[in-house]
Amino acid sequence: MLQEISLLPRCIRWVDWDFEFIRMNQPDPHIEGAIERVKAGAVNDYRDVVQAYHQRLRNFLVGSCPPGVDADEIAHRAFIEAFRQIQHYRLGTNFYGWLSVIARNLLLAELKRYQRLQKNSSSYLEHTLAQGLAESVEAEPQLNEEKVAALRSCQEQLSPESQSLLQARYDSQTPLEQVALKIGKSVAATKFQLFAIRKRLLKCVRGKLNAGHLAEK
Amino acid sequence: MSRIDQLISGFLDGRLDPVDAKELADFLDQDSVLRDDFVELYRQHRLLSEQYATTSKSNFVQRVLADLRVENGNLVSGVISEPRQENQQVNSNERASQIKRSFRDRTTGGLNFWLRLFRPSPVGWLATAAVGVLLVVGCFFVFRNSPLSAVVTKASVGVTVVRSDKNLSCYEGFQLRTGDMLRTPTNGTAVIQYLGEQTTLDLRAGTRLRFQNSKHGKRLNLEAGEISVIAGHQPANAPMVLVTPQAEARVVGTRFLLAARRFSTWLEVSEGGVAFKSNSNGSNGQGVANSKSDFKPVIVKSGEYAVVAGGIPLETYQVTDQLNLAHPLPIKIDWFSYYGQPNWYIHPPYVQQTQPASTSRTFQLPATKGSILVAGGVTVNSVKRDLTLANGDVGFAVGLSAGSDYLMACVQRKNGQPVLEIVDLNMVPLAEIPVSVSSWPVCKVKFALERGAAQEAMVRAKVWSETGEPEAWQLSTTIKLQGLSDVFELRLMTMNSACTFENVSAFLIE
Repeated sequence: MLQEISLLPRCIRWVDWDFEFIRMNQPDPHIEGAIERVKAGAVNDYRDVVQAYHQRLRNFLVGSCPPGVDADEIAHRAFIEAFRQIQHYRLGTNFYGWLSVIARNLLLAELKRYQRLQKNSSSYLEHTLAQGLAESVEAEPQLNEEKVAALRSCQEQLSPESQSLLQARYDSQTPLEQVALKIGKSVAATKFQLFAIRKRLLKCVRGKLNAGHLAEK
Repeated sequence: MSRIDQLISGFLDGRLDPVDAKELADFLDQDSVLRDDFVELYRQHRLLSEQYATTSKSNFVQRVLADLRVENGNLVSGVISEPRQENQQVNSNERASQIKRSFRDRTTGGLNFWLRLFRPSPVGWLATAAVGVLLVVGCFFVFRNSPLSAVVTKASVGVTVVRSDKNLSCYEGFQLRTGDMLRTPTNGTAVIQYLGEQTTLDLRAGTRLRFQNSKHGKRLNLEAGEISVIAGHQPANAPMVLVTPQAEARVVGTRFLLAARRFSTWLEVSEGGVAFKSNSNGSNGQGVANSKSDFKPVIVKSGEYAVVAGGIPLETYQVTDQLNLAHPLPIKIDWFSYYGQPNWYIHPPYVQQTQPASTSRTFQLPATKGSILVAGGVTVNSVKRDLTLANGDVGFAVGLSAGSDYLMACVQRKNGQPVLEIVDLNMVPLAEIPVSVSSWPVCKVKFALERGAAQEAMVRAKVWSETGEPEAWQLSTTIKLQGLSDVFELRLMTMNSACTFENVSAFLIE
């Protein structure tokens, strides 16, 4: 199987034993054309650029935002900043890569600001969390994309009962009491089961990511 | 389910009280693997929340483009518009064209009428005089609520505009008028763009900003909260002026952050310069000028910050990593003391009680309305305990007094172990300080009095030795301020000990 992987084109990377792949960042001629027109002054063509990358950028950001900070906020600022700096972008290179560096820097600045705020208000737990997030963003600039794919794959491996519990909890951020009511269990039992699922998912995701990295080597 | 799992689960499901949060923080502090797991579980939690989110993100692209159009000056400035109904979707370009047409029709129609009327005849002159009088009287009413060239380009859910005592929902493209007050909720923000110039106001959560009537330039009243401003060049005769309950900032062309806190106003400038001064009369009774010189503006330049607050001289400070708007501001302590108890040696940064005794010394602080933090190092040099006395305690105390004392004490009781205590309120045992030696190592102390609503305040304290400053407060309790509003004295106290107080400092934290 590893031999097969080495034959894969460079634009895809192995992430899953179930043959799921993530596309690497290749210039998209349609988007590059839009960027060229934006550079020439056609602001409205930036719509295509935002449309093409905003979901991907959100996925990149969402897992690393501290509590209360919306990934949309940072993605929004990243797109605006990228527009301001668009003349510095070299056509044909990798717009998403360039954009994600801008977003990453904004995210790190936000995490630093958040850390400082939490430290000043003695919210040590939030401060620790923000510190951990900042460290992981600095250490693994691209990992969220793989993580999203791995998480989806791991969710599919869950039992239907676990899947529906996750959905019940995360759909509209339903409070635990309501989730417990919905599935006919006590709050304590629901909490226990939910946390067990979270840990199982974490283990599974780590396994997949490690396997992916091993395969890369 | 282990205790740590319970705590993490509680955090993810939003059910962790401050005590549990502290317990979890302590667990994480001791175990880096655990901390990594916690961070990963949180990230996974955010990803799952995102995945199952049912709210549509479809307007994201439109919002970005709306901002870009504004940035490129594609909207028309200085035009009249009415607030649209909620949920009514109007394309901003179409809207701009409509406004443009309406403005053109009104101006050309009015001009034709005027040219027909204005002829060299008595009727014409009389009409002109009458119109002139009407204009003067009408101007007051018209400009009281006239449209501004400011548009809301981003608004979280819950952002509202108070206009003529009515609460209007705010949306992207909302045109603001003179007299409007824009409010952001505690979890939401808003961005305002002035059309035709590079001026943006970024309102943070919990902000109230009123757009005041002004003959020349922009006048904004920041009643509470924080705004970050990127100001394009403002004409010299039409400056942008931001007013808070305590201060006034006059803008030329710059980028800065202005925060109106309950007892102080903080300004941090990252580009350009801002003329900053205390309110001379305190428009709402909160003027805080300490001396005549505070009425004069200081120019806060790029990389500097300044604070207007009672008891604090208005000066500029360099923004460094250690000292910035989020950092407490040093308060000048008057190290002269009127109260004469014996054997005190006062030579800042050292203040010493040279003989073991139970005495205290009090020093003046400026009358400061905000919250205060006191920090310093203390060494107990020697102890002379008389166990025959009822009070055989040894140790020291640092405190603030405002009629009553709020003291943070480190004491070893007559028959017990050392404790850190907020006197008469709360205490925790201290393991770090040796129990029976005659001299203690240097203790670092921090003591904060943070004002809450009405006359309540939160008092927090911590003490540490060689181990390094603990992130969390060790003691925390709420007290009543007994009707006194200004903390004005710093008290250092020894109990059957000779102590050296070193680098004791006071800071304004709000």
